[in-house]
Amino acid sequence: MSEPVSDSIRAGAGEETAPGAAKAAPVSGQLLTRYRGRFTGNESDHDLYETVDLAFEDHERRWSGALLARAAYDLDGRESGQDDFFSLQDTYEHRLTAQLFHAYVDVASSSFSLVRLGRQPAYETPLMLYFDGVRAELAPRGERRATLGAFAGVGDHQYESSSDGDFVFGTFGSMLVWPGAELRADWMHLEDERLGAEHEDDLLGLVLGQDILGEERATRLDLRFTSLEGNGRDVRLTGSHVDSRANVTLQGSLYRLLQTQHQLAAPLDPFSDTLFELFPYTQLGLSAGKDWEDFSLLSGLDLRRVEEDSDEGEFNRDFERYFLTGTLPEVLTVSASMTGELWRATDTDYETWGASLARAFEGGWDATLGSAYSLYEYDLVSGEERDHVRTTYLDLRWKASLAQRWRLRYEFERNDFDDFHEVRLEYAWNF
Amino acid sequence: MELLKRTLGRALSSPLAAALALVACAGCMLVDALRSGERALVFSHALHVGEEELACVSCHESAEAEEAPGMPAPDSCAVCHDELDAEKTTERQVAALFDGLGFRAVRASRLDDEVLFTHLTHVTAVKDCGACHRGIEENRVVDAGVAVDMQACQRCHAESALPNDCSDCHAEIDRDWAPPSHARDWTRLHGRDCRRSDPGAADDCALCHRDSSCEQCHRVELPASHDAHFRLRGHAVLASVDRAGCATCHEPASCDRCHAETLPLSHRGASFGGTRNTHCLTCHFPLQGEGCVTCHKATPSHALGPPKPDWHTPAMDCRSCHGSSLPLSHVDDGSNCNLCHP
Repeated sequence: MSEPVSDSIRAGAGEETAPGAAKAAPVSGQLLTRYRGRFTGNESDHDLYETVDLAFEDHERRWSGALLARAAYDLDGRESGQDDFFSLQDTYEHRLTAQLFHAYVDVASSSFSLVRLGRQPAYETPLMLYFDGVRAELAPRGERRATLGAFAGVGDHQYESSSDGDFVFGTFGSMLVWPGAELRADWMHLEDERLGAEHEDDLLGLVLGQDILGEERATRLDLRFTSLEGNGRDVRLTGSHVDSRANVTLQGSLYRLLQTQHQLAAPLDPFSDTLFELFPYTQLGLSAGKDWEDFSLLSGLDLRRVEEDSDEGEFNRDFERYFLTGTLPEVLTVSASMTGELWRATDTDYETWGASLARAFEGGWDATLGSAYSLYEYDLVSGEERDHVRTTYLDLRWKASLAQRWRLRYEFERNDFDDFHEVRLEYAWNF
Repeated sequence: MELLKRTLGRALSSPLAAALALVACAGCMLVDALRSGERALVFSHALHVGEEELACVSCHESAEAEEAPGMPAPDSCAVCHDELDAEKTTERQVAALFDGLGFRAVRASRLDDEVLFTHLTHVTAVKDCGACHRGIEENRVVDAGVAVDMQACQRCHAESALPNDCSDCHAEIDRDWAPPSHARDWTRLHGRDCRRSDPGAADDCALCHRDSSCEQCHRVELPASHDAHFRLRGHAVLASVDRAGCATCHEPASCDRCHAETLPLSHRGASFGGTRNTHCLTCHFPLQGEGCVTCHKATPSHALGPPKPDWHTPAMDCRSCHGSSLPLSHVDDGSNCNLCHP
């Protein structure tokens, strides 16, 4: 239910907004209640979830804030880690668990574009970060829109059992260097205590972004470089081009990891406790999409090559990935989508193919029927392991009103372990 | 550069890649050939405004007096074009720009009915037509390109401290509406755009989304690929190929928390466990990697097995000297000691 939240929803109870008149209500958001039942041969699992997504703001707009949290209740309880439905939520000793994803307050200021306190995400930093703390960013000044910002706090690591020894600090500056081009420099200091080990790392990031905007064409180029502890860590060149007249989108990226990544502070760490070192590699990504009146197509590929052949191993592989998606937005009132994805990696192949049909009905109903087939081929013992996974689902949604939505989803999965059934019932209230 | 050449060469030589490229190209050409649609009207603002330096109101005569800016009338054009068109073919004459309803491209810049906009107010306040109709002096085809750019609206309203909320200009705001960029498998494409620190206002994610829009997918909900098989085994297969994909949503603690609590499928059942049994060999002989130490951190690596004495050769039968029936100090049957003892 990752839906955009529009001003009409913010304006109050999902009712239509009077032109030009409405201002934000103090509290808006969504409450989502979900039951999930899962069944297989001799086992079943029943869970209840409540997700709260709130935005609040005072009438004078001196401050605003947001909160996203979820509570999960295991209706039947899990007693061991050996059943087929054991998952992350079951690793806690309580049937009721709660997670706070963000909860922050923004204080309006004429000098600052952002002053934020609380648990918050930072997406623009070289490394996406969640932390409990404070962030301040100066309002852009002058023609060059120069700005500075800083943040500090305790890193939010959802599944770590303790925040002892965790700390983050960072600062950045950005400015327009020539028309359409922004240069941004970041410094991040990360401390993370995990599994009894202390990690402390400093990351420097530089980004040069160039926008080339035409009447019907937009091109964006980004060159990103990060340095870890004074040594170059990685470099990434990305580009995207949108031609709205031809309905064409092109994207490309070239990434190179420059140094071996060992145990590092989260979220910088490359899962080294489980997957060990990440060795230098180069990865190329390309995608192209085009829309016609009654058909759209998107295809792409990713190619990775480990720098040194001797570094190739179980967790450092060359791979090639291809995907293709075709969509028929409306054929006899039904929209159809077909997609395929293939991974060809050293000693491991994976492919998945899927198709779905969707139709909207009067009264706010819509239904989606879909099926997918996945094949895993991997080298666990002899290199001939093959797992087949077939999935079929029916998804019914009912928009009872602008504010209330229901959803019922049934999914059947047949794989080489067993047959699995999953039922979800959701109710969402937007206010 | 060599690496790139090698990579591209390998990719393009793949039959699958060639097939995908062929399908994509064929699809483009076929659909383009079958596509029917109205062609854009050829009228050059560049010639009239740029080169001839005509004022906007020369053609849009009521722009400064009425709400409707007024579109060119045949009589206005005839002042110059009677003479100019005398030797032109019919389709190139100015009359071709008109039909029974008037100027044919009148709809090109019309806003949706739900947009709360008065043209006359803006003409009076702004005075410069080019401030909203950006690039009009270079425009050569009357199509959607002459329409008002919402980004320009927002920029001007922001700079002038004018109301700039969605509801200040839009009467209908539908949470289910998505911009055209979101139509085509946007979940695959959005990542490269949405982390820009200063995106253009018109495609700023924050116009419609809050932080929770990102986190609902990246932290709260499971993606569709995370089915039962994925939880049981698939995640390990894909994480071994591309751990960067996991990092989009996960941190190391996600792995640690489960792997410290649960047993792999291969470890379950009555035949597994106990001492001196063959549990290692069940999955890891001949050793394909370092799978055991994913969880068993203290497990000595097989690659570190002590080397054989110098005078041993690989061809020797280990069992002939080390006993043919007595159990060895470890779990295998001694049929291939060289795997671990170089």
